[in-house]
Amino acid sequence: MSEAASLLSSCFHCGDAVPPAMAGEVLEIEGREVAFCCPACRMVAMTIRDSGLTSYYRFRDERGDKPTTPARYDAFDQPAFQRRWVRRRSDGLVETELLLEGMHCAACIWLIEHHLRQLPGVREVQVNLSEQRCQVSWEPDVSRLSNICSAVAAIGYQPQPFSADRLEQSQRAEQRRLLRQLGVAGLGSMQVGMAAIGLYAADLQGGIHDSMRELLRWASLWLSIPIVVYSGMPFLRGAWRGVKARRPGMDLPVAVAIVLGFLASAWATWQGTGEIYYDSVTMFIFLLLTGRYLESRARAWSSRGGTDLNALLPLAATRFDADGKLETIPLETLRKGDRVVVAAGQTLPADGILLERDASVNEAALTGEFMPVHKQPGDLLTAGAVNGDQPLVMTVEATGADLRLQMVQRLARQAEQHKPLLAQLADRMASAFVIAVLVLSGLTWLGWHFIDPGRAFWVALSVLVVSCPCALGLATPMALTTATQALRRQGLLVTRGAVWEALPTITDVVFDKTGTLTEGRIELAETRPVSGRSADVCIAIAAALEVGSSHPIAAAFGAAAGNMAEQRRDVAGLGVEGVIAGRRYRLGVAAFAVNGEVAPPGSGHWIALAEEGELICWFRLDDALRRDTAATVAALQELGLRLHLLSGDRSDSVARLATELGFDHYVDSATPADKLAYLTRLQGDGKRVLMVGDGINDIPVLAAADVSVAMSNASQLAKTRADCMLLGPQLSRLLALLWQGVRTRRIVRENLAWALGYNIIALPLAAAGLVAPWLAAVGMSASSLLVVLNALRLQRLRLPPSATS
Amino acid sequence: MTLTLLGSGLLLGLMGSTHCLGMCGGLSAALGAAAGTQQRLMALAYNLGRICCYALLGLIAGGIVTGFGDLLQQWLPETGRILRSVAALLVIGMGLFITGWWLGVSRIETMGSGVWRRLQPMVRHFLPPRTPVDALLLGGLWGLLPCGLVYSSLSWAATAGGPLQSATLMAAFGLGTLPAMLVTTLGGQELQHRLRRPFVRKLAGSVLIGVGLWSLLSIWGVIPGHGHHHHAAHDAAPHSGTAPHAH
Repeated sequence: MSEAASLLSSCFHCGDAVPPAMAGEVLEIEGREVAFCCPACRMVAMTIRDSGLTSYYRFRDERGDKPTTPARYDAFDQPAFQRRWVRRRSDGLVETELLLEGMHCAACIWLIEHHLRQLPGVREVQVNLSEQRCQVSWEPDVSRLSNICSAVAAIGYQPQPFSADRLEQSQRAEQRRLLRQLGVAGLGSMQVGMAAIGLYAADLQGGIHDSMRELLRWASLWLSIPIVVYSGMPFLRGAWRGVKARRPGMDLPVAVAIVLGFLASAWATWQGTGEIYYDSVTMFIFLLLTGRYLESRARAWSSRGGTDLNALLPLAATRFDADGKLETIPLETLRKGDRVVVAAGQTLPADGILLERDASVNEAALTGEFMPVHKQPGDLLTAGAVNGDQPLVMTVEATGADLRLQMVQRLARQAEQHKPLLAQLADRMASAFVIAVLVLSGLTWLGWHFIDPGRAFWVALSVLVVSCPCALGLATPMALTTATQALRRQGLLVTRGAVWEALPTITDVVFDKTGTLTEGRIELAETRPVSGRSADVCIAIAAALEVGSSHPIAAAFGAAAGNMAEQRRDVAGLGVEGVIAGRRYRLGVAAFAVNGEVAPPGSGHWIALAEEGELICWFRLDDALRRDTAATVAALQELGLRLHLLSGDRSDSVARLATELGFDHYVDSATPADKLAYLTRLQGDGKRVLMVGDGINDIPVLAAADVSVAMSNASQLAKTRADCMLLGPQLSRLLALLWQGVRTRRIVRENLAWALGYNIIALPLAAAGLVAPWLAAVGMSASSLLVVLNALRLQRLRLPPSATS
Repeated sequence: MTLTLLGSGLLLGLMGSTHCLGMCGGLSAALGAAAGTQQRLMALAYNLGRICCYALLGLIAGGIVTGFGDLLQQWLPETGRILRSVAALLVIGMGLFITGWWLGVSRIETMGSGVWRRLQPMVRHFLPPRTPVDALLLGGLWGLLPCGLVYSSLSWAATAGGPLQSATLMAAFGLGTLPAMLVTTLGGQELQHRLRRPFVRKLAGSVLIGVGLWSLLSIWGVIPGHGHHHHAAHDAAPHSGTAPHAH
């Protein structure tokens, strides 16, 4: 809408719509014609203008900040915006993440997901309550982001691109608001409660003067109004939203109870006779708000663990332009293939490949590893890492939504896409449950109407309040969210929600060796040429063979000085082969590389380099154990888990390591197929297996395991296949993971048992007229509160009792 | 009886003040901010002036209606009911205006524009207010601003049964608008945006419509309440018959 048009369609003074009757009554202010909604506004504006105070209109807050027309989302379709926030997927769909304000229960999730899925072109919608985040994918030819955002806004949630900053802001605002509402409700309900006690006491003592009684009743009415209208707003609005979309949520019975209770009391007050429930209504609001406030605190706390990796990126980048001169450009305009200079101490703006000389970068934000990592030309650099003390030059490989940074985040969010069955069920049942509650209350009223009309209303009110399924809806999601985020902050990413069901049942843990139990940073400890070639030449050949391999051994030989082997291929578990200058070389296990029997020249991990099957050099590789391997293994055994070591390495070091660490079972020289067979056999025996691995050759096994954990140094592919991912180097986090699994199951069960048990017991009592409305309010709120508080116990990550002693 | 009177006045003010937010709230916030350190004092003075003005209007209107009402009563026994029905209709109209369902009632605002045009030079004298006394006087004049809400409340108050009762009711009305005005003066724009959301306005407007309808129905005896009194002069607020100690 143009500015001129908006000046004539909405009131210049107060912003309301201009009715047709007023359309002609324009005024000239600061050279523009403006219209008004009513004569009063027009006159006020005239007075202000004539007093020379038109600056007031410039001074006051921009109304334009909050336009209500759908046009506001047009900006989301701009290319610059899309580059930063929208990701193109390989299947032709595009996806983005939105931050939605105004969500607060499982029913909201359900509502948004269903509403958006009905839009043409929208394929997948996933809503995360704790982060108020909605992941949505759609067909770019059919729909546009602005349409989707308008649709979300139409059902009452404000969408904006997701970033942790915004999330935190909106969460803070929400909490401040809740706290204010809580304050009003707390103070007010206390006063109303006092009045109720007074009236009650008076009744006991044979009554008070009628005017006194009237005073107390009227005072209660006035005190209740701000509580119902202001503090009760979250519930009223939530209910209204559900009704408008024809999908009633948990707020509906709450709102109905509040409104009915209040109106009945107001009527009775006005009439001067009849029962009043101000105390019950206000206390209900106060207690529910307390629960909601705590829940909001918990959610904010939870999501803070997931730092926004996006926020790490700089706003601008310095690149070489076509003439080789340096220019500074906004991050959004950076393209793949650009050459970028990153000053010392600056954050890398994109994924890329290091050019020119060596560099050291700190990838703490990504991996939790606080030591700087040394990089050589040709190495991959990751956006979000911080450059060390030398400027570096890199070629951009990926920007925007394609960053590896984003992949980690997407993985982190994947967990909720696979909601545990129980949580899905709760989501789906919410609406049906709500309607059942309303019907039940109605029937209760009808029933009592025949038995004792005088009690029908308050008994129905009690049933309505008492049977609100809020606790049931909160029981599982609260626990899972809290548990996941607690792990996340400790550097352990859970990427599939189903993990929580499998974790407590684990009986066996299978480890890969290299890179899992050990550092995986393999170094060349010794070089022994056997033919006439020099050690340097042998290393160069080995390096050329290993170029492009992601096996940890490859790193030991450094970057190839020049040529790269042709026809090179990885033979999983054995080694690599390739052709250099017409000669075929093999590097790896001696039996693979060399024709005929050869024995390694000593103990340790030796690999052979052979030219056309002829041994030319031995390399001894060394790989240190992780610092916490021994302690972790011991603690896992304390927990009664059977441990297995499956290694592709053939050297006797596997056996030695297994004995040293006390492994129950070990297999060396295992090919991926062997590992898989081993695992399947275990599972065939009824074992539930957790697999920890890192390499490409572990992928089939990771996929087959009941729970799989990828190490921080794992290949990208392994990470995407694993259920969990260690972000840092500490193996001991496994203990926390396993124990958190056990505790989470326990707490979910407690919560469900409590919520169900409470409803089963309270409902018949309320229907029988044994529970007064105020008691129902206390019971129902306390039950929700208990569930939330119980789930919050998972915030603190504990180690199994054995590991702490 | 006074309690009921106060109650209905407060209710009108409280519910109707969603309308004030756009009209005066932003302005008083701006003026408050301009006043700097004395912001709170200025806001209070401004609102005190406004409330006093309303009470004065109530006194005058109550006097006129009571006087003429008694006179008319002799010709037309239903005068009291008719007057109170008009008031109820105006309240309903105001509710419709606030919800945005029907804006016709704003036309009565034009009636007062002549008065306002004459007052404007005086208003300008106090704009922007520099001292609390300025603010007090500004508030007093501002109360005369042609405003549908004030007019409908005034018509309601005028039938309250006597000049003093009318003044009381209008003062209560002013008090009812106070929370909204203070909140916007001191709480700023953000809160104002919130209170002006369609949901809040629909709610507040609906309450007014409900009050108006209820009153209308009880005046004509459709629902129990009152409506059996024929003397406008002795009939208190439209709902007075319900309270045990109304008389």
